[in-house]
This record gives sequence, structure tokens and C-alpha cells, in this order.
Amino acid sequence: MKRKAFLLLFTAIFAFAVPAFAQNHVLFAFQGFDYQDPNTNPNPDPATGYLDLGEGYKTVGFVTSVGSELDPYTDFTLNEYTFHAFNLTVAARFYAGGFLEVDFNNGGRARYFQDPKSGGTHATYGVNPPNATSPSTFIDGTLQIGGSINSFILTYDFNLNQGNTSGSMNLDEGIQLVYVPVHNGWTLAGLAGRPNGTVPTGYDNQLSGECRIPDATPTTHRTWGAVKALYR
Amino acid sequence: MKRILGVAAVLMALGSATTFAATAVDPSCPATGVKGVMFDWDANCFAYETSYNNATFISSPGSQLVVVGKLTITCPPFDDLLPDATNEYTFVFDQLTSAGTPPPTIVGTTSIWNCNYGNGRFRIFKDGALNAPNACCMPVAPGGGAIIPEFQDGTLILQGTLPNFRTQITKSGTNPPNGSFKTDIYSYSPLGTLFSRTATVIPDIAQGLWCVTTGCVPASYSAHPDGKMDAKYDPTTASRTSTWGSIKMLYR
Repeated sequence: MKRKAFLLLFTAIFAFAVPAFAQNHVLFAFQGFDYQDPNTNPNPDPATGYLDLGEGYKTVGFVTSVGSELDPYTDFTLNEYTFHAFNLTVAARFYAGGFLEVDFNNGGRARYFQDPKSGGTHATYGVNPPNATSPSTFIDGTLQIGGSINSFILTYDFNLNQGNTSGSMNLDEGIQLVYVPVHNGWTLAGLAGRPNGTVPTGYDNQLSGECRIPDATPTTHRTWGAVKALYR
Repeated sequence: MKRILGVAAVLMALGSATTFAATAVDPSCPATGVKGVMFDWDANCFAYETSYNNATFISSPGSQLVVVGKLTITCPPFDDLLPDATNEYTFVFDQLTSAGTPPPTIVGTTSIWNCNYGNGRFRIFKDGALNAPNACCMPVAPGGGAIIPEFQDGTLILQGTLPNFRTQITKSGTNPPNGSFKTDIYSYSPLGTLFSRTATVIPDIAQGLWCVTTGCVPASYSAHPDGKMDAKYDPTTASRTSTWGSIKMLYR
């Protein structure tokens, strides 16, 4: 009887994984601006110029928060954390009826850096990047996390002045890489918003986004009575 | 004498709007006099509706949308509102009614779902109870457009209107769906303990990511917004709309 009870308890603990809510896990969040570099066709017309074939796409900004695995190693009081995405080249584009879809080559990169507030260099957007401070003041400091970006897409609705970016990210560099148990399968996504008085001259969209991974449905602890109730 | 007292009262009111503890400003905050982020939030924010299909991205006409979240960054003149071990700053967007999502527009490889939720309300709370759940641990979303109580307890510090709140969800080729939300320029209501500080703030828009992918959104929720409310802080141009009757009252 005791053995049976023990086996039932053992089974309940290890076999009846009670599903909880699936949750999105954010590794880091950021805000900033994007720009074209090289901008071989400076015509801003989305039909013919903006993000033309072969042009480069870059972003700079600030990391605004980090996930739980990086939090013990991150200090926003002492440091400034900056973000940079680069090596994204327009591979294909489609524009119709005020809506633009831009597909980029695989092999883009995204990184975020730590720069001490005391003795470091405050990241400054300036105007018409690349310039004397952008991206240089966003990529100085110590590389924290970096990775490759693939299947990156930008869509923008010029009728509503609203758009977004999204791509997959595999982490492969940085001193904080060791604290992240899963390196592949992250998503780098954000809002692309323009026009807006917050966008400095020479930049295109303001960005607000995150690097995240969808968690597997986690388990929760439950009592044996609660488990039995599920299967009645 | 009454005019002198009235002017003094006005000056004191304006001065109090900018007299608060000096703090280290987040590096992402814009310079004084420059438009930029005022409030920012990241992982801890979710939306839920009374009638929404997560699989089809279709919101039914009349569906009530609620957004609850926790602020991550605050900028001047609110930069002293630091989420820490003592206080959390939560916010609620509500009174948003869906006009319904029409069938998606298809452009190239991208399908586009647009939905407008009309004019809503935002409220920001300061709470020492530190009880609002994080992303890991969201409760089942309440029905009927009710607000999760832990996001609207504490002290109301700011309130205002969110005009023309709309979302756009896109899915391009085999990429997972993605989305964004945006409002027109919001405005402050004369409510909340920190309303007086808005005299030096020119509001702008609220916007951000609107994540709808599976795994991004807990069950019973419709989206994970990650975004911000922009504004311009300019203490040299303190102004506030008023009525002629209110101004006359100052000098009686």
C-alpha cells in the first residue's frame, strides 16, 4: 500500500506536468532609430527610393531592460547599454498601394554593449548618420550579447504611417552569452514608426522592440488533489 | 492686492510643477526641449479583449480592449518615478472599443489586419504594494473588459485620453506574424497627483510593438505590447489650457 502510494506520488510529480500559460521571454528590449547606410538611392519615395535594392539598413539605440538571466550581470545605474544592428542589405522589395515590404539578406548582425556612465561616452544620435557619433558611440564599450539575424523583414504602411520589423536571431558572441542557456531561435522584432518629431534628421523610423523567445509551455507545481481533478 | 496674490499663486503653481528630487536621467531620455520617450515599457505588458480570435487576428465589432503593464523607464519631468524595491508604476489603457477587423489586405507576400479601437483612456499608478504580476505569471484575463486589479491599485498619478488607438498585424510569407500599435497625440486629464507637472510637457503619440505570435501571448490574452508614450519636456514653456472664467477667478 505504501509502495503504491509512493509510486502514485512519484508519477504525479514527474508525469502529470500541469500546463500553465505559455509565456514570451524577453532577453532584452530596446528603443532607437534606423537609417539607410549605404544609401545609394537617397530618394525617400517608398515606391522608388527608400530601402532600394542593395541598400543597407542599420539601427542604433538604447537597451531599456534585460531578461532575468542577464539581470544579475546588468547595472543600469552604473552603465549605459546601447544597441546596434547592421549588415542588413535589401535583397527584395515590394511596394503597392502605399504598403512596402522589404526583405533583407541573411547574415545581419545585432549587438548590445555596456559602457560605463563614469568615464564612458554617452551615445548620441546626431544627424544624418553615419556621423561622428553614430554609430561609434553606440558600439563602444564591452560587447554583452551579439548574434546573427536571418529572415529579417520590414513592412511599412505609408497610409497609416505604421510598420514593424521582424527576424530570427541566433546568439553567438558577447561576455553575457554564457548566461543564456538557449542561443538559437530568438526573434528580434520591433515597431517602425514615422514620421514623428522625435526622429532626428537623417534617420527614418523610430524603433521600439525586443529580442525574445517563446518559452515552451512551463509546468507548475500542483497538489495531488488538483491533478486528479483535471482528469475526472 | 488681489492681482498680486493671484499672480503669486500662478507662479507658485508653475514652480511646483518643476520642483522635485533630482535623479539620474535614463540615457534613452531625450534632451530637454527635444521630443522623445516619456514613458517606456517592455516585457511586462499584455492586452486582452472581450471578443478576439488569436488564430485569425480578428477582433469583433464592439470588443472591449484592455492593456495592462508596468513602466520600465520614465523621463523628465517624471524621471523621479523609479520602479524599484519600493514602488512599481503600472498603467492601464481601457475604454477602447473595437470597430472590428475587416478581412486582411494582401500586398505581395504580406497579409495585413488593421483594427481601430477608437478613443480610450490611459491611467498611470504608483503602487508600493508591488503586486502587479510580471510576464511570467499573468493571471487568466478577466472577462467583460474588467481590469486586473493589481494594475490599477495604488495612487493615480496621471490620466488622459488616447485618441484613435489602432493596431496593425502583418504576416509576410512564412515569417511569424508581427504587429504594431499607434495612437494620435494623447492628452492629459486634470486628474492624478502629478497632473501639475504636465504644464511643462507637450504630449505626442503612444506607439510600439504589438506581438501576437504564439508563445508571445499568454492564454486568454490577445497581444503583448512593447512600447512607449512620447512627449517633449520644456520647462521654459509652461502652459496649460484654461477657461476665461478660471483665469478671472485667479484675480478676484
